[in-house]
Amino acid sequence: MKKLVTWTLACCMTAGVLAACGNGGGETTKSGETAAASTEAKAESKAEKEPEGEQIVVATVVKAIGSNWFDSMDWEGTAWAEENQAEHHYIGPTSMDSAAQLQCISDAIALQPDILTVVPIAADACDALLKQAQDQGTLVVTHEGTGLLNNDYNVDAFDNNSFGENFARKAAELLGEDCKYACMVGTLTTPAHMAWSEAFYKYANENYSDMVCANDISDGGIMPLEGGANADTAYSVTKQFLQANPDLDVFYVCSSSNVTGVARAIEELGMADSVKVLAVGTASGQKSYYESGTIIYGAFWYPGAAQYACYEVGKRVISGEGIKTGDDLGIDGYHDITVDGKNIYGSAWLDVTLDNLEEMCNIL
Amino acid sequence: MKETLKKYLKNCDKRTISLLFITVLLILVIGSMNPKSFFSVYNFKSMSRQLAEIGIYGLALFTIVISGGLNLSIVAIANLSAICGGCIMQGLILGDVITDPFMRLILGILVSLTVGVLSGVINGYFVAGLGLTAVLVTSATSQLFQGIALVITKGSAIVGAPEAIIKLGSGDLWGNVPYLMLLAVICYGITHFVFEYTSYGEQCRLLGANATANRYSGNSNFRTLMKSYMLSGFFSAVGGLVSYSRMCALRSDYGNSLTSTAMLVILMGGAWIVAGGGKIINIFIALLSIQVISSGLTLAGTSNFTRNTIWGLLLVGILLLGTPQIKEKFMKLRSRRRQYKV
Amino acid sequence: MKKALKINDLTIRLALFFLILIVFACIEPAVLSASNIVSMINDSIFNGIAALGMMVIMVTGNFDLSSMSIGMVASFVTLKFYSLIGYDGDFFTMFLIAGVIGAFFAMINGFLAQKYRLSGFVVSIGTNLIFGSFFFIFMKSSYIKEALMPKRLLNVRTTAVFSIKTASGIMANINIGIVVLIITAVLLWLLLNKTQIGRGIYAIGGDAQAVERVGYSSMKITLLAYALFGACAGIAGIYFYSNAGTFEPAMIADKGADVIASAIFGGCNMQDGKGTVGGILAGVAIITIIKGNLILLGVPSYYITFVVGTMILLGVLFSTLGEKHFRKA
Repeated sequence: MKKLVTWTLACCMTAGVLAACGNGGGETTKSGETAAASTEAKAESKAEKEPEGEQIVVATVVKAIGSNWFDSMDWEGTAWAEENQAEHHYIGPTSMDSAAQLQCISDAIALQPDILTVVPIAADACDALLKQAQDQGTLVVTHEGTGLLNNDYNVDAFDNNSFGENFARKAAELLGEDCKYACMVGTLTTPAHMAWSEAFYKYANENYSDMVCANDISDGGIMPLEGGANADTAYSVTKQFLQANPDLDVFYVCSSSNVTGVARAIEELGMADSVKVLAVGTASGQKSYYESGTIIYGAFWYPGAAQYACYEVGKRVISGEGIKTGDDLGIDGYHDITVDGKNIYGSAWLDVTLDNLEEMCNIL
Repeated sequence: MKETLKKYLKNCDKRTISLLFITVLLILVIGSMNPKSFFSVYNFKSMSRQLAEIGIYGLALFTIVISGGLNLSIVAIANLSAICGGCIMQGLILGDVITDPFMRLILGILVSLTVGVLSGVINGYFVAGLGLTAVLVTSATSQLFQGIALVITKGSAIVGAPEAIIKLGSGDLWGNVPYLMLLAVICYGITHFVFEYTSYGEQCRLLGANATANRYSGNSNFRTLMKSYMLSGFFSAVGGLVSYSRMCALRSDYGNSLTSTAMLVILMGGAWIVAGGGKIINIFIALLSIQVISSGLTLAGTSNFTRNTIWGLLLVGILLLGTPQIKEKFMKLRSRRRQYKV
Repeated sequence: MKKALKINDLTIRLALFFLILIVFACIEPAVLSASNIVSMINDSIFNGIAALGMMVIMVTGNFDLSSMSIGMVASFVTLKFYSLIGYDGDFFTMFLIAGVIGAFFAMINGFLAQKYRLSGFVVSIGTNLIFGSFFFIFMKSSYIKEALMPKRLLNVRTTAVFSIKTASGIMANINIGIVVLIITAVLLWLLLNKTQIGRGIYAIGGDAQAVERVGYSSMKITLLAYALFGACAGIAGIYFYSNAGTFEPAMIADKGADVIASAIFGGCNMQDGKGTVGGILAGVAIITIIKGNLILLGVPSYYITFVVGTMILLGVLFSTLGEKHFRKA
């Protein structure tokens, strides 16, 4: 019996040591590839300041850890926390699953943070839980979470309508006003992607009457293709869609994780000369397809900057300073924000073409 | 009172005691990494609600595992039954016929549980009736049920829940004990009763241990297995209602990670180690330890990668500790020690 | 008689495959187009390699849920290693290294299962969690950007062994991965059917004790079976990531269900220790054809999951009842 006790004790001590090591690694994660020189300079200058006053606790729950897109929110969140003597927690499930994210949000609320940032996988699933956060006094700032009821503010890099319309304009500019297009979203329940597709469709309908939409139309709204959670599913969907619609001119792909799958399918079918891609997502993740010419134009935003902006908004609201149109949040893309009720927009979208590819690859 | 307690503890098997010990140790060690947050009322409530969800899915899995199979469709059944029930509760179906919210609620719950049981019947027909492999059948029916749910919801979510369901998900009895926790305890109590004191429970265990023996004992394998799948479907439906109460929204694709977490819980609790084995009390304690690790490590600031590794190590560790070879080593060391003492 | 049964099992599956193909072709003739067939062949490569590995395990009477994690971690170690030393050699070496690393990790499972007489399935659930997350606790980043992936590896997705240009102008390229699949299938077939130790693997699935009495070492055979499984998982994993272009841990996890479905469809039976290379390839073909054509057939996107589930269920029904019918005869 004693040996059993000793063994289990040993196991748990090992567990504790591993967790402590992981703890040390988790909080100081910051990759050398961080962009936004302004934040780096600021961090250096403020690092000499002595910590004073009560430490506030901030936490962020992302869609999934393990990709540089969301890990950038950890880098910038840590940078903000260092500047503001806060304790920052970066939480997220290991795969994009809304049940797992609910558990993460629940645990994040148990930390009793002053500011909680959430990037919801399924907005309607999180809403009820976020109420509990608000009830205990936490300020809830969401990112990519328009339409939520129980958040205090939502910060997005740009206004979704303008983003979608921009792609419609680019399609007309680069491929002609009579091209045939198809939109693809991650899932039909991702609010941001659906908003962009709707905006693309509406703008194309109103301004380019010769543009043909290859997706199904229902009740006046567009039914985009579902690319799924990763490039593999998108690849399969694209291959089948292209065989059914070989005269397609352009794909508008809203989910960054789908882009490489779509491009790969196009190139594998040998249609890279006739079918092009308008991509959302980081340049570095899709570099070879820009170089091969399959992706003609892309746009993205730096989520780390959005994270910094979320925390900054939270801080100003808590301190009573308030937030209004025209404020400067101290990070690139958010020097002149627009405040529309609960929704806060920056002007942080970044264009990517073959010309500025290298520069954009360095950002994320 | 003390005497009965002592006798109860003596009768408790080694696994229960060691699991209890591990859980207490985990609470102390992991809790000490962030005591302010871990030992707070909110965290207790948060952990109870999470473990209620996982625990009930675990029960749905347990009823099948104990009879020697595997059910991969628990989450799909849960979503489908919750969606069917939820449509009635929200008035989307039969909304004009039944207008009284209380009637909608009751009917909705009944429909939800019935859909769960019926889904279980479908599973049971293919596995028990036609003798197909449980893994493949439940994997296929999982897509089937999810597909039906997807057709009903047309890919979007159904938002909104009746007052009572919201209260179930976020309310507490006496201000401190979450209703979901009570629901989980009641479900575990029912299952304990079923598998310890009813003949059906015995048949299940016998079926899991040796299907031929069960048949020769005069029990019908088909009926036992069918009952198991219906019970599994019932618990899946309850799990679906629990998820509904937490989200206050219905989705067809919710909760894929819950199947593997539930499987982890019942394996740690001893199911499948011994064929036909697995005590409910062990599974409940394993559930507690899993949840403590999950919440505690997140509060301590580690990533979910750490949590997954600790879960894996704990499962493998408990498995190894239960094997005869390791036990023998303990016996040898213990007897050597005794020699030296003398 | 047993030989005749084996042929019949395979025949049933092939019959099912052609039945589905014909039904699909009637609904939408484009299913039989060269580009679609080539497309399906490319889709089956990953499933094929991984399912062959699964078969070896199931034949020994074990089941293992950690194949995707083993594939992932083998790919991660291989890619990190290559990006560290900056070597950009040919991809066959990379595949081999991934296979070796995968074999190593899988043998841990096999060792624990065999030495301590635990169920391989239960051990794999624990090791699945460990393999899938262990490395990322200590690493600063758990992903590898496209820019840091070995160039030659990325070229795999564009290298074709056979291309034809179809009438509509679409190119049909059969990816070079098919060579890997064919080599794996042939090697496994030779090993399992023509060598002593291969027979030992089949035997251990039937009766472990009898195997010991005849003189085989069940530990060696189990370790070999797991090593083959791990090697297949590792090679399938690195093939997947070479297609994906970047490495992120969670990308590969969802493919596991299809692999298991292919293996079981292919006639693998853990209780009897059954499973053949031909059966697996037929099983992979069936799963690929079901999953890869529904959009082409015009099924509305939210009916697709339902149709896939129904078809797999009907397929299982068809093949199991067919088997039973032949066994009675």
